[in-house]
Amino acid sequence: MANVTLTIDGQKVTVPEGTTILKAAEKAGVKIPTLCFLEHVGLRHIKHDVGACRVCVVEVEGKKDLVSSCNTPVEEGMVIRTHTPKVIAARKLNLEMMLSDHHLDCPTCPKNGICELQAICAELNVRQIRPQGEKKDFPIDDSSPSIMRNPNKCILCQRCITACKVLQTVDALELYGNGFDAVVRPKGGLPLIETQCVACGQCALVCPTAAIVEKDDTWKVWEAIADPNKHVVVQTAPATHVTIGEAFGLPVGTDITGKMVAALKRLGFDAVFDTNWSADLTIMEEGYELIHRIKNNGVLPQFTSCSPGWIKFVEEFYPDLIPHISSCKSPQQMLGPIAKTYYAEKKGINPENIFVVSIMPCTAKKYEAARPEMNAASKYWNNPNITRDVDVVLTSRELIRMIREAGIDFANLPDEKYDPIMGEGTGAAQIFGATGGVMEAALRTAYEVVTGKTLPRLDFEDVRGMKDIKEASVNMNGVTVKVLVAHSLGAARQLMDKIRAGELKDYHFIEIMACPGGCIGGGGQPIPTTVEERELRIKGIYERDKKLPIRKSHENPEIQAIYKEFLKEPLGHKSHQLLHTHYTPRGKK
Amino acid sequence: MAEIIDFFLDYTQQNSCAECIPCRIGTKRMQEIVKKIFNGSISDRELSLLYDFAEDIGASSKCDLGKMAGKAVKFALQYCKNDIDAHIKGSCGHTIPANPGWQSIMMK
Ligand code: SF4
Ligand code: SF4
Ligand code: SF4
Ligand code: FES
Repeated sequence: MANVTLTIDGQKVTVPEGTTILKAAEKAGVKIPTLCFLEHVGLRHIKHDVGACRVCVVEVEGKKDLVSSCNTPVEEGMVIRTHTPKVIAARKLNLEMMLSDHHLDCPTCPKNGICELQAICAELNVRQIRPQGEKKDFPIDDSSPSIMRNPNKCILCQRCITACKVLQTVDALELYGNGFDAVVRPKGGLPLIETQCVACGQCALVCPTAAIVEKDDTWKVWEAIADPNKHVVVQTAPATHVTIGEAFGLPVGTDITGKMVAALKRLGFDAVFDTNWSADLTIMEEGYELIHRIKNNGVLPQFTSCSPGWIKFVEEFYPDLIPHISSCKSPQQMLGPIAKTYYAEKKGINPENIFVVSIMPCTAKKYEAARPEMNAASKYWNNPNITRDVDVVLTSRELIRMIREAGIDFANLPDEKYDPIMGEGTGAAQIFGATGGVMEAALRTAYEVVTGKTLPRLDFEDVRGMKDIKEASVNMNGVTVKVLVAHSLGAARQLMDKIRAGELKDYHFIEIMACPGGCIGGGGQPIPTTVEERELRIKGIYERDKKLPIRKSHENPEIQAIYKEFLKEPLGHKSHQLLHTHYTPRGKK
Repeated sequence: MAEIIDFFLDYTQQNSCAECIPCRIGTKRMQEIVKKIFNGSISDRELSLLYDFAEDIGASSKCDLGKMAGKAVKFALQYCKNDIDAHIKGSCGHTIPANPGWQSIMMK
């Protein structure tokens, strides 16, 4: 590729043809401010550069108008100035215009402190809002149990549309209308819950303002903890073990499991359990299900079912492929009913008083917990006074807020241990947090169960990392088991279309995670969640796996105990009652 | 002239794809100020803000629609100042009445 030489603020710089002014400036050591631009939306090859905010404008010698640097390619010999009075005035006035149509209640805004609009106004020294006039006034959409939309804070940057349409191919959002009256809204102007939205929250991760945020359920948890009649248990998802620390100044990907347990105990939970425990349980059920399908000519390839955004995606867009989905509930929904049956029995607690809280990286988990069929414990005891299997789901961001509210000095907490019965988790469960992890964990167990031999090497490097679609194969007693892994729903769609077309018949198992990078990139994770952060968190996940004394699900002593004492065998009667589920065809197709 | 600007800004608002801030919000804010010319309630501060808007929107909009809106207002402020002043004073002797034919072209 040819090179182009240009001058930026007096610095000569040479870059490949096609480079944007913004990137060339970066190379020249000049920082141009941006707001709407997003270099990678979840995955490296998805870019958002619609040029909406006009904050990144610069002056090009010989051109009368300013140009936006985020989406204008360089030209040979360009002479660019990035902070002339004309440029600075334009940037400020563009921001003032934006603010003049924005409900500015920063102190009570969910994004206060992590808002990109706030930050850019500080960076560019915006000190007044000269233009005044009519303001948009739309109702807040809180129809979804996962996502809250406040269109009055929307700056129409359209990042959410790129996330939803290009990354996830769900296409639930649209830019509707013209001029001042235009709005970014769920398709057709419906409440979000009535659209094909899968609640993945990738839109919330990229939204620079509080126009799309997670639903805040922290108050329900404060109340439950304070209620002396309630025995409040909490579970922590694998992906939260390496992400919560970011908010408290620890390096991205730091393993904060022990500190999180300590923080949860200080918040006042009665028992702190690990979703890693139920991830091991999931592997037992899902692994045996796979072996069963292979032996009995069941529907193959089998799809993983841990990611609730992915489940809704199949229900909406590929209802014909529902038989491929494993009937196993996700680890979150396995721990809930077990807490209200096995644990309740063992501890002699009335299951009516048990309140289950989850700490999840995911906004779709709120939706999952609210599904009507997720009340297995109530059915098991035939007692309508037993509440939902999982009562409240908090995202990583909500837990971070609770820890702050309680004034806990998180970074300096001592490590503490999970409570017994559902507190032990293996390395196999830990890697559930990263794309490829469920698959790798399943292979570690399936191999040993099928062959009766010890796996020579536990690490399945082929299914790790940020490549969209990955594959591997393992020989088990003469059968070559072929597996595929995809993350992001766009990548999932590619596989689903092939399956619908009758391809991929010789594959056995497919892992899909709705979010790029897997749960570490979930829609409820700390903001920002960039591709670089996703990579560092993945590294943290595998480091923790290496550190753990037990790295295979079937070797977890607490899992062995529950089968011995309660469930008897994988896919047995109680397993079916409590740990398996069914799916609902939705959508129009 | 003030009426023509008003028509033109109406046209811009109705046809703005709403992708960029200067065109989407800026032309609305300009129009809100221009309307004040008609009843003479416009202040000097607003008039100078209108000029800043015109300059900025003309220079930094994403496409020619927004750029044109900014430039048209800037042009009007520069070259038809006496007409606008007359409007503000409520004595717009030289104003060409808005032509319905012209309006229909602009509103299409
Ligand atoms: S979205 Fe940002 S700028 Fe707007 S009110 Fe919230 S914190 Fe303030
Ligand atoms: S939650 Fe996911 S599916 Fe729903 S609107 Fe946002 S990006 Fe789209
Ligand atoms: S909702 Fe957020 S991401 Fe979407 S256009 Fe509005 S401000 Fe941008
Ligand atoms: S960052 Fe370039 S137009 Fe918004």
